[in-house]
Amino acid sequence: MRDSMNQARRFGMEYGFYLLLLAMIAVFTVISNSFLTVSNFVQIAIASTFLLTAAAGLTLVLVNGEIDLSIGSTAYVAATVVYLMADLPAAGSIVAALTAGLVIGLFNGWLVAYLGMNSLLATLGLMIAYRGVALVFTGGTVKQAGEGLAQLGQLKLFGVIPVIFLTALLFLFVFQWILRKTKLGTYWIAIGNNEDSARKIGVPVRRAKLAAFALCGISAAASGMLLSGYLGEITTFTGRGMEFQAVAAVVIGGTSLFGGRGSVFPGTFAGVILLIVINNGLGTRGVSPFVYPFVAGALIFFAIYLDAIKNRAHRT
Amino acid sequence: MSVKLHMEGVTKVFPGVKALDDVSITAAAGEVTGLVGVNGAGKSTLMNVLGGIYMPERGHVEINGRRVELRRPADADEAGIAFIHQELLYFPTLSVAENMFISRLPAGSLPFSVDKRAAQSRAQEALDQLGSAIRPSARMETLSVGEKQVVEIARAVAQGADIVIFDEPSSSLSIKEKDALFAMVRRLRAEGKAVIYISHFLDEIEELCDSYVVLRNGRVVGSGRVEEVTRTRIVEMIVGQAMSSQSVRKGRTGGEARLTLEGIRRDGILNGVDLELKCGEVLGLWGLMGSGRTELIRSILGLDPMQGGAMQLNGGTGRRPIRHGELLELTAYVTENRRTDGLFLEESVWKNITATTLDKFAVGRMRVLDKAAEERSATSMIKNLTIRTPTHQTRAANLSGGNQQKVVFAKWLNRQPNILILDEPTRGVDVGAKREIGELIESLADSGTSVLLVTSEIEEMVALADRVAVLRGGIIAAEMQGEDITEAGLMAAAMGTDAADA
Repeated sequence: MRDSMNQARRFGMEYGFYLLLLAMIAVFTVISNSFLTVSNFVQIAIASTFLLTAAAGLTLVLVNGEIDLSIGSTAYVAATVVYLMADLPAAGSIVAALTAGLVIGLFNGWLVAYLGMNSLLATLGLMIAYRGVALVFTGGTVKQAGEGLAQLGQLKLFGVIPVIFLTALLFLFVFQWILRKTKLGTYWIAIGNNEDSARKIGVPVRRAKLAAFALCGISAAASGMLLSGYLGEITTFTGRGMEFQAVAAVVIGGTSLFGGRGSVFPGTFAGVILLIVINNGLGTRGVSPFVYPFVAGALIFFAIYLDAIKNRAHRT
Repeated sequence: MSVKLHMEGVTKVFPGVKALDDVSITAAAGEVTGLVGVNGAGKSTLMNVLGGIYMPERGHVEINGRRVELRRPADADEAGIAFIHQELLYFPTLSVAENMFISRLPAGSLPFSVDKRAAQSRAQEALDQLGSAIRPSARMETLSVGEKQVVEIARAVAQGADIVIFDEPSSSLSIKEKDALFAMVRRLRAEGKAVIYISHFLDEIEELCDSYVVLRNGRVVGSGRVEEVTRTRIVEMIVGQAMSSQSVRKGRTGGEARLTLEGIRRDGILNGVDLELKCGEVLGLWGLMGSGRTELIRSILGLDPMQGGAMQLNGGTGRRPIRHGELLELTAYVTENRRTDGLFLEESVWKNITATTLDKFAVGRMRVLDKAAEERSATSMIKNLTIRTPTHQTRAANLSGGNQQKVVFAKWLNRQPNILILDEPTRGVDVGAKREIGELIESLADSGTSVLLVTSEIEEMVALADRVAVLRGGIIAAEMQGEDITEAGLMAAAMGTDAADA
């Protein structure tokens, strides 16, 4: 009896948010005529693309028990690189933007893994600094992306599925594969569980963390690059506040802030989609946009509370 | 008998201490070698040398007659040395198989990938070999403590380790799990591995080991075949000749019972502790590290859970049962960490002293604190306990360790408690303050206070306690009174030998 109740509780904690996502979709379908339509789903896909891409990399960092708050600014730096390389063909600006993300990620990782800096504070400072560097180049004004990239950004497979969304999915699947099927991923989970034990047992802790931050930098840069490709221009809003939305989505998706547990797919994917669906559903119903922050905030609060419960249960 | 592992003349110096001094030990294949000694005797340091964690200043290690360099944990791995740690190293959210092979995951067909199926089947093999039914795909966090240990042993087996070192493996196991552990150790021995078994418990050494080595103060003070030695002799070696068997004469015998504990249980640590604390006595609680002294205190105070047992308090108006958690409000508890648990370091001495009795100083409808009265009360405490502080307004952080501890005492004495519980009251305190705190404890007991004292300093226990209860195996294994309390007697009782009765 108690066992089955515990099982029900565990099931609720593991899969509760997936059920909530399904329930949300069902509710919005019923209360709004324009929710369950192809064009609205395309809207949701596009709206979630940028957060999905950035959150995919952030998940890997969180699994290590670290955090990267600079991802929004990294996205803006990458977008700025897109602008600076606007004369190159599309492939050139993509490579340049991702390389910028890689460099930033390696630097963040080096500070945390090799210099032993606290990741929360280090990346909080860098969040401000990176944006500042980018602003020097853009002058805080709107800039144009290259023609080629802007065309790619609007491309749709079969005329329906946005290619940028497929790119985001590619990031999710590859990162999930790395997390679950490679040595590196196993090391990350071990480090997130207990960094000290991992070191003692011979896990290359510093290199593994460096790799997580590097991938996180690349995915944040990809997010900024995809956004500027989609919009065809670079706005100063690129990536602003994205770090907090991404952390929220990742935690809602079941990844622990304490490290050691989590998944990119389906976890982070579901977390992002849930946030976007709520925003979109409220919008199609014509609810005041000011309601969304309250709903999202409550959801984040609840997710973090669940995370704390899970960790308490496992630590005693 | 073939020599598997030999350590020759190993010396390791830490700033100020010679942790290992010319230590030579040998472990043979197909044998279990017991390594014993008190905490700080050098066992852990010796094992860390084998594990490639410490580099010794002098000496070397030979395996199968060949010298090996152990500079990193990976070197020990490669040399076929595996450790079963007391504190298990594991990753709760990874599977059993991943835990076993974390440092050598088999490569899959795709680049960078891991062949999980291969890892699982190799894990299964190792678990089968040990006769265990644990599934390799199970998440580590779903296993019991004993099962987790089996996984560690299986890891050693799977790595093909020839030398397996158990570091106090039984301390957190139930009796059944312990039997299973012993069976596995014997299995390893039968397969021709050299096993080193570190333990405090001499009955385990007697039951399991073929030979023994005794360490004391970083030196080997005895070794030989287990069947050729008595427990009493081993205790003598562990404790050393210098240890006095003199007791300090005690006058107090204690009055009627004040606090009665019956069958206190806590999973894996306490198996039914019965204890009576009398009025006006100092009752010492003795036991080895990990015997559950601090855990017992935290459980009865309600700071930690308790799975069974009853407590009764005699508060002058007859006995009454008390519930879990109530005792904390009725007693004064001096913790072992005065800096973190005992003091507000940034606050003044007087505020620290009155912190537990603010109710007494709150006046009027608004319950405003009467600062003048607080300071008067604190000043008189400072005088009574001879706390050496420039003024009563000095920050607690600026006092010496001994005087900080006296502030902690003052804070609790203000409440005029009947029961005083002390966990390592003189840790990190200089000799002079130690004596003063000792005198304070004595005078409190003389005035009728019941003192429950936990200390790991044996001289202090002999000097202060009127009566000593010895914890071993989760129960009170022995009790001593007055002149029977000696250093040798305490050590023997804690380690489980008949010498206690002699």
